[in-house]
Amino acid sequence: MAMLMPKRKHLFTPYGSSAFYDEMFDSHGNVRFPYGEVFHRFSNMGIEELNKRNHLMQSHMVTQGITFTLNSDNLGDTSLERTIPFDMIPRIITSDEWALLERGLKQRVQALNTFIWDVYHEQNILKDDIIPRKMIITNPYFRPEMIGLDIPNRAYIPMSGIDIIRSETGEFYVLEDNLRTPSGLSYVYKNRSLMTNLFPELFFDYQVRDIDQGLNALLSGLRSLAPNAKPDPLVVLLTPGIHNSAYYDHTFLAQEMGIELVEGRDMTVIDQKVYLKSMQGLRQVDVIYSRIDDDFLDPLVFNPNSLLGVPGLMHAYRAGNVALANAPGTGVADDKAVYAFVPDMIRYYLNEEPILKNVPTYILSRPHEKEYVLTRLSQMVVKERSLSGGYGMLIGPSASDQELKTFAAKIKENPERYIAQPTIKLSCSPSLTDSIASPRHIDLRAFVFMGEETHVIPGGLTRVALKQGSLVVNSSQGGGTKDTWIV
Amino acid sequence: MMNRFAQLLFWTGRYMERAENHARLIDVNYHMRHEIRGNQYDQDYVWEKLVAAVEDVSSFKSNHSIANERNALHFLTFESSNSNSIYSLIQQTRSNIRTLRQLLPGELWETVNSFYLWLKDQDVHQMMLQSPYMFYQRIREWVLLFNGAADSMMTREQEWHFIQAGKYLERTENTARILHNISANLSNDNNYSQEQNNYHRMIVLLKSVGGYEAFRKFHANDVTFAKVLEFLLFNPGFPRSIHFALTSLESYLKVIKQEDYDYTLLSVKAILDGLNDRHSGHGGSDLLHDLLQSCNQLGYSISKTFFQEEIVGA
Repeated sequence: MAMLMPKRKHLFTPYGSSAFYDEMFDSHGNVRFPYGEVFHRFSNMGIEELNKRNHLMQSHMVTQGITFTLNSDNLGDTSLERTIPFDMIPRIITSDEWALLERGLKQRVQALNTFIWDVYHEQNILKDDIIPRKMIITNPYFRPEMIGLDIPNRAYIPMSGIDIIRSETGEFYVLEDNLRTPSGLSYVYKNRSLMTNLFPELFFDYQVRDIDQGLNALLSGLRSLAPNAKPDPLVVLLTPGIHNSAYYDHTFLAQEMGIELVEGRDMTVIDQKVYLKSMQGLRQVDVIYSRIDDDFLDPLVFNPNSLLGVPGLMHAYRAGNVALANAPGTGVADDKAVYAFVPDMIRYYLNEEPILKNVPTYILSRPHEKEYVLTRLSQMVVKERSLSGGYGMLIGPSASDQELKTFAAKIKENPERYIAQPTIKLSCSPSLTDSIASPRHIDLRAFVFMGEETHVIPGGLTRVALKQGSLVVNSSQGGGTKDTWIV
Repeated sequence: MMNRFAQLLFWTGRYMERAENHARLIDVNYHMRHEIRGNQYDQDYVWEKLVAAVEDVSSFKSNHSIANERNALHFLTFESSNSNSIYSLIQQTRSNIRTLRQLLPGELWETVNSFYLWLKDQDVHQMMLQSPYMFYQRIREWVLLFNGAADSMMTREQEWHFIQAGKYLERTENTARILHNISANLSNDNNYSQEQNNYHRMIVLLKSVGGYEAFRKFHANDVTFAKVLEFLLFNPGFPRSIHFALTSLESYLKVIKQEDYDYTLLSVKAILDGLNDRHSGHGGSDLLHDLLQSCNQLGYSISKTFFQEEIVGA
């Protein structure tokens, strides 16, 4: 049902309002107040000019190599390098909304961090039966090696990425916590620099909150982890290498923070200390910002076939001679079933009411919840607990009968592996598609850094599901991104 | 810096220099082909010799039954299975710089990435339809852009020294190889021994190493092999002479490792002295053959000295 408003010119004319919450237009088709200038600038610009800037932006991204790599065995095959589609219409969050989000995020991350400490020490939350013990100790990301280990500042998750959505009522919900190696931070910065170059005039209209201090906060957080409070620690970023899909993210962060980008083979462990092999000899490494999965960190302790890690690293870590960010074993808290208990954690550890809501979540190992979900599978989103990146998911409303059947069978066979949520109607935002603006679903990945203080990057990465009607925003599944403004 | 990075930087310098040398060599030969008289067989023979000048002929022959112009240009420029084609060199450089991104100015990555993205969309048919001259000119301009960006943006630290060392070792080897080839051909090819063709060959030789204009300044019309050889070996001011390239190489190696390091292993001076002594005796292809061997040894000892991980206790 297209609502034609006389003041909507060109670009936004065919924009149909819908059952979803739209970030730019209210239910009457009026432009929401923070978007006023964006609406006018884009409307008046003309489609030709927009296409020109779009083209400029594309070629800019290609020459700068702002790409991610699809998984492939064929090394060096550049045809698998993709730019993440960038949508030029920004997403705006007002500072009032943001104040709430920021408080809620800090609260949530603090509770999660305390939970991880508790799980690996006193396990009070399990003793008090707030969270089922079995759900934790049978979790594939539970690391017995971490039990009883005291780590610097008790900082398990110096960097986390919390995914947030807005429902049809306009309320924010947390959809997912990413506490292991969340990626995408570089795009927050690249998106902002693309926008300031392409639309400088918009930045005269708006006082967009600055994001520049964010990486400094991350670096300070990492440096503060150095064992024995060493004044000038050697901090490195450990990457799986050039063929990893997030390699651009790694180079960007290493370059911006001025830390060394290293692979496992560049380091060696001697007498429980980690050293970087360099032409000047060996230099002791104090802090490792790791972008490889726990499983591959140390072949002596975890996956013995790993070529990515450093043999002996866990011994050095346990001896307190090197810090790891994020700590191994944090995956126990971003499991999709444990997610359902985060509001309880907040109440339990902080004695506060959760500021941000969770999406209702059904734990399928509970028989009555499983039955409930199986009878309405076509209305549900089902996720495999330990997977991320949009893999292993069922989206009920868009699934075929066959897919529904297959998933029902999987759930019956291993109910404890899955969780289900009602299909959330993610909010929409106008996206440039074929020279017109069309509504597309979006979410927000917020980045939280825990150091001596907790810092949230103002805004974060808005992800867009570019296919019409699609609810999957992950870049590995063809999603795009937008610059995100706090005004 | 890590040894792994040092090696990538060194090879980045080599590959870029090699791409430029190949582009110049191919271009010059392509445009001289009309001036060398002969039937089709002779013409094709010329192409085979061009391939021989930069590459192992046997790998070319195993891929192409006929050494004609199009095959040769494709093999030297675009063939991805030929690790020394211009395409492969640039692809390898891009991959190196992608790994080194955080150590180098953004301009270097963007230059090499754009170069690669442009080159990967070209092919031999398109190039022949348009203008080979413009094409190879463009290749050389990309390399000049890279060198210029490096010169004006890079801090003079290890990263810079390694790229430069690679560049000058490659240049030494390139000039030596071309000289060696031409001098071998001169003594073999009796049917091309006329004065006229000889003059052309010297011009081709000079142009192949980018020394035509510079040579004119020093030697005017005295275009003999002896003069050209002396110029390309010993001229201290011409940046592509053996003397200049080796001296530069040595200066970069010296800053890379300043402490207690025995430079006789990287015997640049010995090579230069040897050249000087023997040149006064006789300037044949033996001398050039030995020079090529010395370049190989130099490359080997550099890699042994700088790129092997040190196993040192803490």
